[in-house]
Amino acid sequence: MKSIVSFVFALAAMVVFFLLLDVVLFNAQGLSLIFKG
Amino acid sequence: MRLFSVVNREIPIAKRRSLTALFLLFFLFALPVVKSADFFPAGIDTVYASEDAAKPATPAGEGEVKAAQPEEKKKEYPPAPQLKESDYPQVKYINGRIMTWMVAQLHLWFAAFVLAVPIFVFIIEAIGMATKDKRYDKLAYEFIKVSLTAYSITAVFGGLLLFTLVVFYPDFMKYMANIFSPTFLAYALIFFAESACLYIYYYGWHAMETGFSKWAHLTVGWMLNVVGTMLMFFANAWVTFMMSPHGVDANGVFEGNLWAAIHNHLWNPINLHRVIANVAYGGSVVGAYAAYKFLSARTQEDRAHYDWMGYTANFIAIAALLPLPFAGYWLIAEIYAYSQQMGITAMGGVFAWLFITQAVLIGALFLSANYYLWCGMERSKGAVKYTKYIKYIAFVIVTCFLVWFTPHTLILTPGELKALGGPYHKYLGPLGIMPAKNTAVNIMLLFTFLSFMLYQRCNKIPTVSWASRGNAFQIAIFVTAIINIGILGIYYGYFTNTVYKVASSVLQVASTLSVIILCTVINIFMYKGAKEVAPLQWGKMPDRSQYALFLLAVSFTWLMGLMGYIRSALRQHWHVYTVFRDSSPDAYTPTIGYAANVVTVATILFMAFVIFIFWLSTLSGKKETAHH
Repeated sequence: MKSIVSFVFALAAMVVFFLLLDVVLFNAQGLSLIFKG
Repeated sequence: MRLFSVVNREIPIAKRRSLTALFLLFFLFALPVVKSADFFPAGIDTVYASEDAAKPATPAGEGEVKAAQPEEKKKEYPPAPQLKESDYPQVKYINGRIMTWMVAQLHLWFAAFVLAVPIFVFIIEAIGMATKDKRYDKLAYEFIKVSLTAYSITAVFGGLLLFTLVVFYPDFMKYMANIFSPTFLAYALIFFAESACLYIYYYGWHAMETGFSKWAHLTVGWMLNVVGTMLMFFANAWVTFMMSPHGVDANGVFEGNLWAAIHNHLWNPINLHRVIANVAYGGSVVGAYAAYKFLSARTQEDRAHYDWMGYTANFIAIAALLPLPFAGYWLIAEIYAYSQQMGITAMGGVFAWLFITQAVLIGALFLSANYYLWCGMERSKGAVKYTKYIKYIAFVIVTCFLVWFTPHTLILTPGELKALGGPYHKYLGPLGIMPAKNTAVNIMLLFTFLSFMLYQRCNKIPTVSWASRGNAFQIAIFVTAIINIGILGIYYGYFTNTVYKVASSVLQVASTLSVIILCTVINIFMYKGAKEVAPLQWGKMPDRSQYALFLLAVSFTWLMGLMGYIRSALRQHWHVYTVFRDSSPDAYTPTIGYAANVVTVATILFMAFVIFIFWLSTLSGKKETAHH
């Protein structure tokens, strides 16, 4: 049970981490995460 | 602090030796540095000499002096010659291009090997000093012993290359010497310094084994790497100048700034790519040596030693192989940035099919490296719990491998074209473009890293209380990274415009590197003070695993030859791209089959030399055993 809770928590943390990574790296290349047209 | 505990023993003798060694080193290193002031005569002041000439007139007197400078430079340096076919000397029964190509390739393979080995020998020696484990020292010594014979052969091929170029391409060499002659002299001096460092490093290994002299010995190893890398950077400057000339005008007239010619657009991407690739290559060749010794070992002790050596070499090769695709990606991106035509020729034009061959060979590299790791699990009694996962990892890696070498454009007959309903396959067509390949490569790298993680932990039992949470965190890292790489590859790769398609590949790389870094950090803390399941049984490896190490070395060699051909052939009919035209009878792009045959013959020759080197080291090994 403890492992499942840890896994869910870690999953949420890593989703945020990769989302931030994508936003920062797209932004650094002059693009936004949300594709426009 | 343990590192410092080896210092200050046997001071009188050690001190004398160390001071002599340090003095010698200082002399060797200081010479090229001091001389470098003469090697860059134009200096930074003249970087923008041509721009100065373009500026509006300045007050009289001062301006006249400044304006006179570029005129003098133009008189001093001639434009690139416009040659005719008859300007290229012909030697009966010898094709100048083939000979230069093969000799240059053989020189490069050996040079890559002898530059790489000292890098990891230095690291292994330092680890041995830190851990005081004599096994590391013995291993490092054996590695450097292999590279010593190769060093002489490298120099022989280097000399042969120079003669070949002078004989077959005298005007080209004259033009290059006009620009780069100071670096030619520097190269010769640094080569002298490298030889001195290598001989002191090798022959002084046992004489400088204890106390402060061991530190001096390690310093010699460091110096050997510094001068070796400097040598390569010089050679890279000549080669990249030919691809992306800088510091010359449209007619090839040198503007007088040597640094501009050296620091051309592709210099640093090649520098990075070659340093990483050399380490991976050096690891694979030494791995082949270990496999050769393992298979010919008579005692269990020798089998154990060479098994460990093979494992270490494979580890080095994989560790360098993981970031290598990213360095390659940067290089090709810079080639596109310098000349879109050159980039398209490489990836979308005549050489595109060689990149498919590259994918097959790199796929073979990954499969053999993984296979070796899976076989290596037999050394541990604790590996049973992970063996059931191997088939899934193999499935993912093979699937990614298939995606990677799916071609985009096919050479089809009209009948085949009709049957297919167009130039691209309905389902497999989308797998032929870069987003699919980038995704596949990144997932392949992640699963290779996973194989390595499983191998590392199979003989260990963590003792920290948070081990299960640590595992859960690592699984979450892998899952989210794969989802992220998938979304970036599919959504941004196929449903957005090209700007997003290119940009998202950087994010994919960042995701893969994040997994490697985060999981390594967690592993370090989680397995601190871990218990061993049972002592690792070195030498308990099936013989077939050793052939994976041979495959690794051969694939690397062949791959370097083929990719090196692409890099060089991108100049097409130019000696120096767009500046100095190649008018020799061989100034055409041969067919891929022909080029592959030349590279294959060169690969076989190289392997024959390598086997000769291995055999020589066996002879010296026999002598040492008899002596003991």
